Amino acid sequence: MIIESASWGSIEVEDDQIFHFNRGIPGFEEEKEFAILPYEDSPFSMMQSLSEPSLSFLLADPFLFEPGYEFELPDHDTMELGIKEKVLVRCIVTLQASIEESSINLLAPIVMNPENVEAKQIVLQQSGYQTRHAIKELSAARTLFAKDGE
Amino acid sequence: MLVLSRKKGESIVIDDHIEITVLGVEGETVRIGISAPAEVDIFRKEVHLAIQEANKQSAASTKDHIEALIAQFQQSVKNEK
Repeated sequence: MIIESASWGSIEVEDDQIFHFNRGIPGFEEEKEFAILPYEDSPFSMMQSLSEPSLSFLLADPFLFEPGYEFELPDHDTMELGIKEKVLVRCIVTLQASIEESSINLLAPIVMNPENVEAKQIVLQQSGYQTRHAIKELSAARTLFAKDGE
Repeated sequence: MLVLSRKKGESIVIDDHIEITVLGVEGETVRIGISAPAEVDIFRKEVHLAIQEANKQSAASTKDHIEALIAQFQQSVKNEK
């Protein structure tokens, strides 16, 4: 189907790229559907609201930036999302002037079931993760970003 | 706002399926136990507000901005190789 995006104009998305958020996400509880579209050649994805063209987010694969990232998905979330085997995890990036200075929300990952396209932003309890981890301070940042002049 | 007094060990029932029990009081800190169905999400309010705020600040960046940043990322990865 074709969806409207303020940033990207009309874009064609496949049905399996449209995820259903039963409760929206915190701060945007009325937004129930987002298209999640990978950026080619990058660890990033766009998350575009279907009902609000001006609302989009940049997502990143947290395991690429922080290979030690881990959490236990609570049983009730596993059940709510109908997760059996496949699960996708992405985290929302808060952009600053440069990617390195931007931060990533490891406390509240977006968890997706690609088999039934159900998704939820879950909040980890007592994980030690925060809403703003500077990307350049994550453990894999050194291998992901070249320093100036090198 | 409904205001109730409860003693240690006493409970409040909300809507037949959520039970809140005062487990103990130490100085200014009250320990609360909550029994609720699994589908009810329970968060500390400041955590919930922090996530709402982070989401709001992360929304609706412009296309040019994002594309420039991703190009910058791809360039730095290329340089690394």
